[in-house]
Amino acid sequence: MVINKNTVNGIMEFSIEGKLDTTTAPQLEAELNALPGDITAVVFDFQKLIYISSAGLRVLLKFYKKMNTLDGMKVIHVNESIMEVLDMTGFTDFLTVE
Amino acid sequence: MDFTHLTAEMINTYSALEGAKTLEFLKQQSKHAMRENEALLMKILSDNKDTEIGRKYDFASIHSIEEYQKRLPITTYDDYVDYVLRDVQNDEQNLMTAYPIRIYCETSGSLGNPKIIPMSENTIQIHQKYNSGICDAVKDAALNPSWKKGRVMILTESKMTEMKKGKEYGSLSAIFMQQAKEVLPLISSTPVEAIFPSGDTDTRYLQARFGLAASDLVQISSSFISFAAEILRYIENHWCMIVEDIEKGTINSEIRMPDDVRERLMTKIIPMPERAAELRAIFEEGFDKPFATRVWKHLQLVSGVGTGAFEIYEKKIKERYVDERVQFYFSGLNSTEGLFSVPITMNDKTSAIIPHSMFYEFLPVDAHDDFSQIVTLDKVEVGRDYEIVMTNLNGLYRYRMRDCIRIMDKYNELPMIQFRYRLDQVADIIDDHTEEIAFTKTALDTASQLGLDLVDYSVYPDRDAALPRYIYFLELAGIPEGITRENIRAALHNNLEKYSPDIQTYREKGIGAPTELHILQPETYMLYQDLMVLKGRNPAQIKPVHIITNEFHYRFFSKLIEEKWEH
Repeated sequence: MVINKNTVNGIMEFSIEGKLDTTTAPQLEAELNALPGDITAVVFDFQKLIYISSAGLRVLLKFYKKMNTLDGMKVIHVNESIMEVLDMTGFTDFLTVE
Repeated sequence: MDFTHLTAEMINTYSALEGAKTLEFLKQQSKHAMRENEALLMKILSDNKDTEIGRKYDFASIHSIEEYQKRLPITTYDDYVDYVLRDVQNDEQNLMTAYPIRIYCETSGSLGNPKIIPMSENTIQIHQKYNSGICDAVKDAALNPSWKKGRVMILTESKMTEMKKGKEYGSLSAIFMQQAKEVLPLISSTPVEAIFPSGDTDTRYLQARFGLAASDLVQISSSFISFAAEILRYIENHWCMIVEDIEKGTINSEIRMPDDVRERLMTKIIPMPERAAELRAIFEEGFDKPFATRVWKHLQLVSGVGTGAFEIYEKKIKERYVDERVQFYFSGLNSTEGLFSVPITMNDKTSAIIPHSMFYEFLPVDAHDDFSQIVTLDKVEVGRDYEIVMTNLNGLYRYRMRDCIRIMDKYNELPMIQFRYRLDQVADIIDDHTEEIAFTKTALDTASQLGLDLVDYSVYPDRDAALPRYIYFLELAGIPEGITRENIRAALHNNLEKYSPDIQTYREKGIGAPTELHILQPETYMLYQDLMVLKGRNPAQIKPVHIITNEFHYRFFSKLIEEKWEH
């Protein structure tokens, strides 16, 4: 998995390429735990994400709870299969997905 | 009150002595159990005759059980919803009960949405006297006396919120923890910051970290044994990080918690290099031998609900984490609605009903809702299954619990019961009425036969397939080399037919299909738990989804199948 980061006006964008699963989820979690203090919102660009597993969803969920105290987070450029996962696991009930 | 002079030994000794008195009282009650229970009913009716329900059914004119049974219908939660809402929203009093309400509790809600149950001070006192008290008396009789000096890893999280009109809402365990808050640091390894978590605190880490640091640990205590299994698995997977924190006196920066919580906890932590070295040496030996009794040399007890759906976790703990030194105290039948029974011996899944807790009626399960077959506690038959219908101290009258219990024995006149299954947790693909326990035993037997490391399971009754069948979803932490998905599926199928012979009949007749299997992605059940907590569920109330009964659960598990096992 490759993670590219970009910060604009306090919003950090994570572009995730590849698979977010048991093996790679800790890598994303470490990045999110090291977020600079001046970041007020996070955007996940899933355009190149081909697969997300339970472990990956748990990282998103943990981070959602944390970011909910700030301006929040959203997920963009979600492909159909990832969208189906987010929808069927109930994540679209609370996550902003575009 | 000044607690600084108290020690764990003093507190536990006192509790055990008081518990012994209660246990003796219960044994005396057992000689006249029916008389005591009938007297309780008459008192409940007399005390509540001026409530709205009491006036509706004219409690004042009821002087016998027979009159009571004729006058009042069998009820469910739907019959009380309006009263509860009027109480909660409008602060109306004396609707269901005249007894003062202390807190509004959420039930576990195995099915559907959780319900709010008003909890009276009377009920809370019964819980404290019979539940906690007798537990300590049994411990005192069965364990090495050193239990009194050690601490307990408490795995309960207590959250109380304020509803409208200043009413408190939370779990029953939250009340007990609140009452014991001052002495918790003496008897619990778990810090109060994890028992009363605020914000997004990683309570699992805190339970494990402080538990591992406590070399004097004697007990792991949880509401459901599944939590004990989960924390031991967490330790197995994260020991390296935890031991480093114990060694250095730190909290890993990746562990989430509010800053003020972290600051408070840091004042309680000192570097413990010797303890860390001891732990590291044990964990580096690997996990082929149970580690819990090596890490905690004084560990004597694991406690919590371990019957019915939770037997899977007891087996896991015994196989993987503890040796024969550790005993189990299995909580009796205990819910927000009331304390139904309490174990009076160690390692016993049978428990005694409590004549002063509620008025009991028993509906034979094989009566198929013919209420004319309801009997009182003096007429139950050993070996038969019943659904409990109860009248309690919270304003529930002839309330169906939907729990199936079996009468295992009698202690004098006192029925000794064992929880069997939730009556609504029975599945059918045609008309088989397969109980949850059958699905659990199937999963456990399969895991044992094939050497699988089973995390948990769910079953979906697929009645929409061309031929109805059960679909198992298994999360496995380990699958031995050479075992295929088909091996697992076939074993599940054979075992399920053994425990539910109707399924074999359907297959042989060509009206049912063989059991199917999907293997779930790692961390699926933890994700489910996290999601439910996010949705506002009390962590202590989240029960495993063993039978999938709704669309959300089916979609959830279906979407988290490990694709590499599907081909």
